[in-house]
Amino acid sequence: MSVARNPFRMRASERIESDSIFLGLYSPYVLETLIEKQAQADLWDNVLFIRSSPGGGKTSLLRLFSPPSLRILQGYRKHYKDIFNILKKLGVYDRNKISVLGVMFSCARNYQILEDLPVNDSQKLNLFFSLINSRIIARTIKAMLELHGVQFPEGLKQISFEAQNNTEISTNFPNKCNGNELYEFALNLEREAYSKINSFTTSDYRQKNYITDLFSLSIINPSNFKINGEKISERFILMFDDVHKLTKKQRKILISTIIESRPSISIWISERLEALDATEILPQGAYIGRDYNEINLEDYWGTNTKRFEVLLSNIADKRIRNADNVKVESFTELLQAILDEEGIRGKLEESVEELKNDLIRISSKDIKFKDWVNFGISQDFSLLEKAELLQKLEILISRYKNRTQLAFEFPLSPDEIKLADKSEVKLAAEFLLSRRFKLPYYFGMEKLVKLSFSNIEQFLGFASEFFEEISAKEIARKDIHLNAQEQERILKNVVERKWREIPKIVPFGIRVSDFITQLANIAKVETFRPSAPYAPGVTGIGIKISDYRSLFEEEPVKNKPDRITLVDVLSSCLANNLLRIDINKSQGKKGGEKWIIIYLNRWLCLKFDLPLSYGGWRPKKIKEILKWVNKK
Amino acid sequence: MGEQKINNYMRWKPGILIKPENFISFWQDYLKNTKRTICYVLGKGFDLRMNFILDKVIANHSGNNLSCLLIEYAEGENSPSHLFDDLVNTNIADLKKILKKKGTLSHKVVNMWEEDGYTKRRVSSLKASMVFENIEDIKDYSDIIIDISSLPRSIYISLIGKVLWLIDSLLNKEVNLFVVAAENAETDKLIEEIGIDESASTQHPFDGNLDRSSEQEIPIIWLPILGEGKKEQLEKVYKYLDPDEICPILPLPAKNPRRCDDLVLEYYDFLFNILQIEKQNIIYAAEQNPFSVYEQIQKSFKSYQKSLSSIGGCKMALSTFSSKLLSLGALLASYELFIQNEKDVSIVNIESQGYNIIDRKRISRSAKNNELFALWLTGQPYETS
Repeated sequence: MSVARNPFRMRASERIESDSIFLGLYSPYVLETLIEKQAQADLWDNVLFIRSSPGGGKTSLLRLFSPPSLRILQGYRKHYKDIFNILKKLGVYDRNKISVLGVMFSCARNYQILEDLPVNDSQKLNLFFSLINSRIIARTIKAMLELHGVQFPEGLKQISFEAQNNTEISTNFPNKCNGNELYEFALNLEREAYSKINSFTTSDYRQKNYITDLFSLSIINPSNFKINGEKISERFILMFDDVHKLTKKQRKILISTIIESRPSISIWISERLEALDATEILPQGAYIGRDYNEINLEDYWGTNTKRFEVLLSNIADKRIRNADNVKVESFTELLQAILDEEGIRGKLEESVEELKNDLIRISSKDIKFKDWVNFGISQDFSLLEKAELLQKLEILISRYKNRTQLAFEFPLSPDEIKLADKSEVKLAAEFLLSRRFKLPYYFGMEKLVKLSFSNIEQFLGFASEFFEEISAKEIARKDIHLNAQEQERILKNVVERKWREIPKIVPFGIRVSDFITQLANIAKVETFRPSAPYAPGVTGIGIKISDYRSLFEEEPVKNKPDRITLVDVLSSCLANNLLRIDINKSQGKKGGEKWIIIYLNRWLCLKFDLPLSYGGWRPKKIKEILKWVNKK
Repeated sequence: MGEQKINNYMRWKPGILIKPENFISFWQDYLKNTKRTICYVLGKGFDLRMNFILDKVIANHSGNNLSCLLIEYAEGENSPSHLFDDLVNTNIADLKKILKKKGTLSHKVVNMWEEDGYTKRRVSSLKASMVFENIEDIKDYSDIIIDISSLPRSIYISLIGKVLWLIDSLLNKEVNLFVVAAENAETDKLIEEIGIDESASTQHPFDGNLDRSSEQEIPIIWLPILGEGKKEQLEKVYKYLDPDEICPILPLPAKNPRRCDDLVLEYYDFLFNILQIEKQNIIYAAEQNPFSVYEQIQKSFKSYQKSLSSIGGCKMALSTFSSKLLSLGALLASYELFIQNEKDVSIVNIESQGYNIIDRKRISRSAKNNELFALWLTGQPYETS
């Protein structure tokens, strides 16, 4: 592996050149989500949707199942034993054989244009299916050779194909042939489609093969192929990547066709979580479990933050070991995780003093809180612990005061502090204290993980800036550890830069900035209330699903320009990972109306001095939100 | 696979470039012939250069009847360019005045986007290739002049490509095709792109077989023509292409002798630290001569094809982040190779949602520095009697 000046700059798997570098940087923890599916018998020979926001690790997951990765893992199993063992558990390796043929292809390019070519709908469908079928066949055949380590194209004739059910695809489809003939058939199909797409004219539309369905699904299965008389592998997986890049119509046709064909092989469909509701494109009557399954990588990390932290630490450690100018084994160890009280003694003393005075003032006016305040002031804690305790007391007192009916006019016992001292109050106190007295808050690996918003690329962006500072310190022969203040300063600089770029680089950028500012301002008002009612803070808004859906109904959108603007802004925010939607959260009791929760990306929480937690959101109506984007 | 036959013919070597110092005298002389039937194509926009050439030169010196085709590009309701609708209206009013008694005005709308559920897809280059649909649309003209001063790149590349194709493949008669531009580096710096697309895209039909199954293993050579302030765009195109080799094209010689060095400084980290390109890969092309870029690209393509012939040749992707003049060089090279059935050359760019004028006052003052260029691409000088 070549050394890099800043190894964190190497981004998603698409940009990591060699398979061995890719595997060296891949963390096996994400595979646990597949283990769970396998335990439920939902992983194989089924349609599986893999969804996440941009940079959430979809493509990397698919790439792991491609033949070059599987062969390297098999050959160097000792070197990659953690990944190898999990794949073995999944049944990818059976004794000394690879029993899965993964065929990956991207839907990102070449397909959208078909929708706008000056040809009729049937011709568009013909071009679409010609391209998809030809690529499925051609790439599957190539993958077979790769899996068996046979040279391409020389080895094509070693593959034999015989369709079990004689398929009437087109007059010149070879039902029984060698790999070379089938490959040539696929290339001709693609070539013919290209001659229409890649041209200044489509006036002469004649196709030798007029394909109007996804016939390749019926022929691509392990029983139809052999290599040198032997079975290719036990299982096939067709992996469609970036399906969200197809037009809405193409995506619907592709997915409906796949589900309705009830394929006998595994089909993995990877797409971004930006659709309003993925179920809208499924054929009627299709339901989860029987016809398809799904993995939301965000949900997985959202509920497994500790695992995500391990994953990111793992990635960071592997990368930093690859640096040419910094010689360390662990990235995490370079990040101070606990505040060094000595370094901020002055600020802490000031905060304790100020909080103490506030509380004395309150207790002098209201006898109920006297014992609480005395308890807080008399504790023999460190300065930081004391400041946090006093801040907690302020929150608790404020909460008591907000109650319409206060119980009795006698002092509350300090024991009640413990009762009221739920963990969320502790988190709110830590946060409010830091913002009020300008103490570092955004530091340490745990916060960096939260800031990454379940997005590996975002993590690498922050980590690469940390690395620059570490590297500079190394050159200056200083201690290369980053203290809390340094981390927060670096992160603040990064997010300020990202924020300034939004109007310029994000579509509808000015309105997007306005929209986010409005959302963040609402979150700030709620978060910084003295009683911290939604502790530790608010970082999103919720919209009733019926209200949200009304925004996307075609007719109203067309007739209402203000709604078009809001749809544009929301789409741009989601595509650029500035917001994330969380669908189907039920509020209150069972059967209550479902909500769409729109959360700020955590880097925007840092920009607007908000906490990094989830769960805090305030309900809003579309008609209120419309005003945010239609401000003059 | 095997040794490929390389066609070394270059139709625009030499090409006819009319430089600023000769621009007015050339047109004075050229337009003396009053039998010409001229189609003048220009873009509707806020750019103060929109009518400049038509007003100061073509209409001024022409005794001919001009058929003016105004291309309106629909950027959508929410385009930031709408902030400058007043300038657009002034330009249109001026255009009508210019054409009074001098010619007729017709319009064509080119959609930049198509709605697709909750998203949009970019269609500008495909739609631009449909402005002139067939021979009927051009057969009555002796001269077609395409003024790209206020046309976005995604439109003029496909538009000019299509007109060239119509003239080349469908007509028996001679048509003179000119591309004219009012270049002004100062004005360009004062207009910034706003809202860059999420992903790059190819300019129709220069798709370069990037995704052909049969060409998956063929290496991609990327030639970005560098200009100032395009780091985000460069990164996105790089991500789209994931090229195997990168040969940046830098403007040298240039009016500002330091420009090339400044660009290297601006992109040093990206080019040499992140992409780790070899310094000998840099290609130099004259800043004000699109035929120099054309020639360099042609030579590079043919040289790479030859060296990589044992592995099936190469695919070449061109991206234009620089002036309009230089991007014409990329278009000519791609077009010529396309016509020669060398369809492995693509033009990959990234578009923006609209534009912003950084300083209105300065931009109107900068008009005095417009430099007028014309490329004569087909017709009289290329006749093979």
